[in-house]
Amino acid sequence: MSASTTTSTVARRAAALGGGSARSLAAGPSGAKAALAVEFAGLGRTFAPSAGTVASVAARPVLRDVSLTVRAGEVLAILGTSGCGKSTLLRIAGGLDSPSTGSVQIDGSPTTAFDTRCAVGFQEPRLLPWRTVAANVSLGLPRGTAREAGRARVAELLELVGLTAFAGHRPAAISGGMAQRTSLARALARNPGVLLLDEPFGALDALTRLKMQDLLLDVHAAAPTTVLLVTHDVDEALQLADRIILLGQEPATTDAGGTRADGNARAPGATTFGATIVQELTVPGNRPRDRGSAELAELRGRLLAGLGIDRHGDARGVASSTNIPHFPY
Amino acid sequence: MTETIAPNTAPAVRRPLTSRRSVRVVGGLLLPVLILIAWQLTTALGLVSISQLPSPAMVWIAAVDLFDRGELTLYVAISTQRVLIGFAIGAALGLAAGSLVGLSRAADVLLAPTLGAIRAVPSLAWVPLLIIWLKYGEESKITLVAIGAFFPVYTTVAQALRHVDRQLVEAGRAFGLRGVRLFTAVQLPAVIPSVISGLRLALAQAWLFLVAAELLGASMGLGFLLAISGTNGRIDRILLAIILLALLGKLTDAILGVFEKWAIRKWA
Ligand SMILES: Nc1ncnc2c1ncn2[C@@H]1O[C@H](COP(=O)(O)OP(=O)(O)OP(=O)(O)O)[C@@H](O)[C@H]1O
Ligand SMILES: [Mg+2]
Repeated sequence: MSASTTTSTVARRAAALGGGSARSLAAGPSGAKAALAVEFAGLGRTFAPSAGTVASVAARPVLRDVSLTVRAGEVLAILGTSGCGKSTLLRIAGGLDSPSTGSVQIDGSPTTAFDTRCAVGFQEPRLLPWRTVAANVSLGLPRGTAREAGRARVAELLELVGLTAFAGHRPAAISGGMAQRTSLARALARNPGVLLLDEPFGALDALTRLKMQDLLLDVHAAAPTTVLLVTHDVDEALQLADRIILLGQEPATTDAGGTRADGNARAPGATTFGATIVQELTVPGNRPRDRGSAELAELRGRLLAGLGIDRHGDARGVASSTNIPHFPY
Repeated sequence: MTETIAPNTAPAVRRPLTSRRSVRVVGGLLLPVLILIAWQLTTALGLVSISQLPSPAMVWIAAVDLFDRGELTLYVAISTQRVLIGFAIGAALGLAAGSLVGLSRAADVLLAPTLGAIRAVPSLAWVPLLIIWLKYGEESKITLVAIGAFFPVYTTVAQALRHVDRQLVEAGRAFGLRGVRLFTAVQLPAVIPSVISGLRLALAQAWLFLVAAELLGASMGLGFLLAISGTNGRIDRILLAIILLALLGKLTDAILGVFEKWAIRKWA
């Protein structure tokens, strides 16, 4: 990774955050908790057919054989096509759902229901409509935070996500992207050992998304925590994660040996055995990464192919000349 | 609010005419005034005999007469007192039972069928039993009013709690809330608008049950006035009692309405 290419990113980061405010987050009033390791062991999840569905619909396996150890302080991105079970995996990690088979351990002990060592940024903002933005963020504060310290921390987080001017607004009076940032701030307020983020930047415009990604990196650098980040954006994963897993149907369960068009042409119902980790890769280099590097371009090609997106050309051949990150929407 | 495609230069959003306070008050009074005029005309022109329909003036005189004897104030006061006490007790119990049944599956299974059956008992069926058990004193009337107020609150609260957005409750739990704290932070605020509409229904029902109680066994109150005026053939007093019940019911409902507006602004 060359120094010259990273400079611009660093400069933009600094500008976006208006100085090193994220640094002070490390010494937040409630103090940073240590990052905790997460270990999935042979995890599977099958949903029983719901009462409303026709009798012929059998129990639906969504996840199977997910085995993975996330190191303390690591940022893990979870990629996969829509409906493959990313949210389910995250919910199980946070104790919001329990596995049908296998287990999850956090810091060596099994997860409990609504595990207090985790904080969740849900896929939907899930803000309390009768509370202001600031009061919603304060819901995330760890139990027993002193009043004054809590208020300062909320103000700090709102500043970070750029919502200071909207602190007194109700969720109904802010945009979808703002609501999502509020939800992110609420999860950050927890100062958790494990931060579970379910597409936290999904509803944001491209520029805000970049800012928020950088914010997350700064928060992570300042107060190390283990992050499990669900995303469907390959570039986001490459930019933020230490490691990326791709959830999907194992190639063996689909007819083709390769991964070419499987993701798109998935036969509904018929041959699903539940998604598992089909690719796992470590992202080289330290953050912030150069979005245009050839190395990342090659990884991007592999991930996109895994997601079933044909890149119209041999990824390896054109990778080195690709400088413009493109989003696979 | 109508869709006003107002340019940004417009300083304030225009409110439709029907949401203005003065318009609402005048508009609401229009029909009662028309009825009063029609009533006056029918009696003045002799279209109906005054033994069947006394004139507005006769009702007014009956009111003044009762007031001078000190009965009017007493009846209004005692009826209002019975409604307020009974309503408070019934609503509080309804809130408690509704919360229990709405939040706890076990309570739902154990209590809901029985409460549903009790609810199906017509109000008048309670009266003889209450009179035997509690005699003709205040307790029997207040109990009946409380029964009347209990069910609307119980039903709306239990229903609303069952339908609180699960995602919000889950988010509350994920952020460490449980038990009473979860209830006060998420579930209660979510159901407040329904609770208040339940309270308004309960208040209307409280007046209904009050009259039932007073008609059948009381020595004072507006229902009692209705009962003895019926036997004495005093139609002027019957009309007076009906008008007073309408006014009192509307007044107490309006007070709750103000409370509802405030609560909706705060919680919804
Ligand atoms: N509570 C549930 N009951 C039954 N089925 C469920 C439940 N939750 C999830 N599923 C099923 O599990 C599958 C995976 O859902 P999940 O929400 O984990 O997908 P996802 O990968 O997060 O998708 P997206 O990217 O669209 O958010 C879906 O097919 C869904 O129907
Ligand atoms: Mg999801």
